[in-house]
Amino acid sequence: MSSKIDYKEIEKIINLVEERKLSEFELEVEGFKIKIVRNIGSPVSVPAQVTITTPGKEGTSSVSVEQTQKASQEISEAKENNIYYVKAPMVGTFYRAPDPSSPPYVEEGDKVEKNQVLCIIEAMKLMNEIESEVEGVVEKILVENGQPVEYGQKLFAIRLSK
Amino acid sequence: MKNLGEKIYILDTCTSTNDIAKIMAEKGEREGTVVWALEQIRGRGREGRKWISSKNKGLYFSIILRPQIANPNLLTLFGALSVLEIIEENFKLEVKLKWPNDLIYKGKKLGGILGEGTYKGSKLSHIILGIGVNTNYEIEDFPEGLKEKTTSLRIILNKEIENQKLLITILEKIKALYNMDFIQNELISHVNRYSFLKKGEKIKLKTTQSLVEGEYEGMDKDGSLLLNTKKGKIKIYSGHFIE
Repeated sequence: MSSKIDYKEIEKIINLVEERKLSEFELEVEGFKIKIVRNIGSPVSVPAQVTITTPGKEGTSSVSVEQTQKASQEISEAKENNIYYVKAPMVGTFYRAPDPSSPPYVEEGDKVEKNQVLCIIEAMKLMNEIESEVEGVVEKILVENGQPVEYGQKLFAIRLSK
Repeated sequence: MKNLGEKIYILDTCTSTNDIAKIMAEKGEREGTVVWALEQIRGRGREGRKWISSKNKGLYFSIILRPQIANPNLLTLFGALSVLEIIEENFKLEVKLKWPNDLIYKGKKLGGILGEGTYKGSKLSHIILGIGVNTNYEIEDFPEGLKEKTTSLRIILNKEIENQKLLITILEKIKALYNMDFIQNELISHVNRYSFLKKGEKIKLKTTQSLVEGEYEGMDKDGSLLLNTKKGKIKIYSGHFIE
């Protein structure tokens, strides 16, 4: 049996695990092992942890792939209208600046680079900087400074650079 | 986290240990590395307020963490619990946690925790857990207006505290407790034991949006504060207390 397995097949397995709401899935074929663990009882949606191991002559090489249905939805959304939505990864308070005396990280119309800080979400005195995953222009800021945000709430609409 | 404290960077002075640890984490420094400074010139407290950090008068350090956990915001409370347990075990002092990050002894502030996380989009990259404990301050060291609100281990115990020894014991405690199952499922029941607020106590909180009043119910599993108000039970994720 061939041990060659491509990304599409891994994705199929992940989707199956998500669909069937399996908590754990393990598959081992010659020279290839995949283990997927989903945290179901958790209050927030946790990305499925996927570990793929391919034993080779030099030992074991291992890669981690993270995949959620949410993430794939986001990508398809972005593809449709060229707008990418930055969403809150947690419940907390949204801040546009590092402190009250500083200017906002970004304004509407600003160009943003990948890994540029967009905002802070604070919860239990943990100040979380949210960096952009994409390059583009801030089309719209969807939340006011100091407002509470929910998990998954849209914060910024970013028009993607071509 | 086997390698916690394997690498400890000791700085004579710096802006804040969180700043340095954050830069190091951005550059790929691994989980468990510690930045310890004898002095901070821009130590930070709540709402960007200055946290006084005179040379050798306090223990100021930050740890780089990359937790694989559903709710990384529990890490501030986790840091607090580790320090509370060590102070109880080593000095037999009943220090309380004023939600979510103030360490309080008999109504006076003894230390605090400030966490800073970095997300690449929706994915957590790292958390810097900053811990500050007032060890060797004398009452005269505190500015007017803080004298009645702040204390130190030296003032309480009337003896010099070895910062290095305290740092090592706290790191050992963190290493022993740093387990995602524990943090996700058991942390809150442990932290509740040290709560400064008593169940049923009437409290007032100022959030960015409004003033909230109610009776303290406890800490929820996600680390938020549960409050019974006239409008029903609510969860608070940020805010500060009004005396």
